[in-house]
Amino acid sequence: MSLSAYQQALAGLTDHVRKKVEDARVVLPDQVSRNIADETALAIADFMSLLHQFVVQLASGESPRQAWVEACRTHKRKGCIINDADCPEILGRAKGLDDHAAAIARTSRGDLTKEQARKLLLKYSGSVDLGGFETFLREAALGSYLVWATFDPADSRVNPFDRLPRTHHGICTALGLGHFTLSDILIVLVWDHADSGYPPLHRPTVADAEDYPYYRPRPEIDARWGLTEPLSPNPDKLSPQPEVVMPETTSQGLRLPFQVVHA
Amino acid sequence: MSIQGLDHDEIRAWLERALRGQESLPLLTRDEFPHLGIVRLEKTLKPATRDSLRDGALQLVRQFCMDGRGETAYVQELLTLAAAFKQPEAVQMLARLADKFSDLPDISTEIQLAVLAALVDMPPPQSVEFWVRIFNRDPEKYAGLALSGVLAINPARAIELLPKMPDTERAGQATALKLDLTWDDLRPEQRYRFVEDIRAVLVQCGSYFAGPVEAWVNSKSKVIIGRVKTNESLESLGTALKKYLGEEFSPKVRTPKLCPDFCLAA
Repeated sequence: MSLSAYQQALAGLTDHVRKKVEDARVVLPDQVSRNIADETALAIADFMSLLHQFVVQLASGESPRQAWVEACRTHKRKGCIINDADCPEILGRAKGLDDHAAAIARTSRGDLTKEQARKLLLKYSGSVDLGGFETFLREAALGSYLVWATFDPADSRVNPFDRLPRTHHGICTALGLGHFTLSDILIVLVWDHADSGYPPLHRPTVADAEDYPYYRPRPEIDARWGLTEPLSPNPDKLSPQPEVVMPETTSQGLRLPFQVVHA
Repeated sequence: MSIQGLDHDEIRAWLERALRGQESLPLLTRDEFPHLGIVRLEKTLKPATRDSLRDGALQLVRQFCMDGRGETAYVQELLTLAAAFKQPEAVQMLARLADKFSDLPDISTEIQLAVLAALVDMPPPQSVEFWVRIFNRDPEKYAGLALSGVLAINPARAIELLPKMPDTERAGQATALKLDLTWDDLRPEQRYRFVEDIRAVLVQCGSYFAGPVEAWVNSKSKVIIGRVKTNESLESLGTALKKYLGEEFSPKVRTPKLCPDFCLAA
């Protein structure tokens, strides 16, 4: 039986480093520990570097969890890049309404507060005529540091949310967005890859996910993108959705209307 | 992820790390701002731990307000969390800090704006005098947030500030959006006067700023005129029905819900 990527990476480390990694991995949250062992999207050299950095952070006195997160932050977007010719034309994501309101407020540099941005998002949901709000909406980042996005693998020119349930619960289930509560309101953002300036799209890795417990490494080594694991229970038997990561990008390519989805 | 069982000081230290993104939090998405994970977590805590967390937030605000220093991202997270917790003591401390900005030249503009934005969003609101003082200190920098602060408590006084707003299209766009949100909160009978008072001061405003605001004023005038016409039509219809059906079928009471803007037609 061939060695997993994790085992191959471990094999390339010194005995001392290997032992430190193994000792620390077992005290990480179970799912994070399993994700590290099951990772397939990282090149062995990058995986070794990630594990080595993990040990460096441990040596500086950080807890295993924090050491892992810090190591991950120096190994972002190491998954394979999707070729330009194969890039989806339309991408989308769901995030918390309050999260996006805060993003708009911060990029507005005092022009709008978070509460004002929140009210405006609620007011203009479903509208294509945003008036002056469009200026502020387009300046805001689609996500912080790293944007996780999905697309429709059957036809990447269409809105990926068209094939998902329109409900808060259905969207969270399909995209594997745990921790949601009934008080969380979602916003669905869909954007044109070309109008966003063609940011590189990568297959996600365990380093991109850090300690997020709902990430699952895709078992196929050669897959060009990742897959979500729908939340359990999944009464509608929603299938895993494609997922990619890209660098922080403004909403220049955002398609209107955006949608706010209440619980 | 649980902080149950930590003592008061440990919770405060945990909170500081969590605001810096260094603690595991129940985040909806991997890139969600940390304060939202803290708010989500707070709702699941036992009362004593929740009190310690809120008290810890207050202590961190107090610590920040001593000199106004801190990494921008951390301070933004702390102040947004404080706004979510709605703690009056935090409001008082931040208001005092804002009044001292000119004595604290080391505070970055971004942090100053974060303090003022938190004050706009947090109850209880500051006085008109407070916001006018902030506005006059540096209109280029503070005008947008100061205007928001005044609009929230006294829209009529806010209109007086419009001619002093920076003459940029962006300031005009932001102002039009804020006026629109204020309009939404006004009673129908107050809206006509609000719009007309804004129209009256537009001639004193810079042209770049005035453009988007004037466009908003015109759009609202159309809404008002449209409603007045609808009400006049309803009135004519009522008169015609009365003639046709006789006096006993005419409405005995005018229902405000059916024609809320009717008084504007008078």
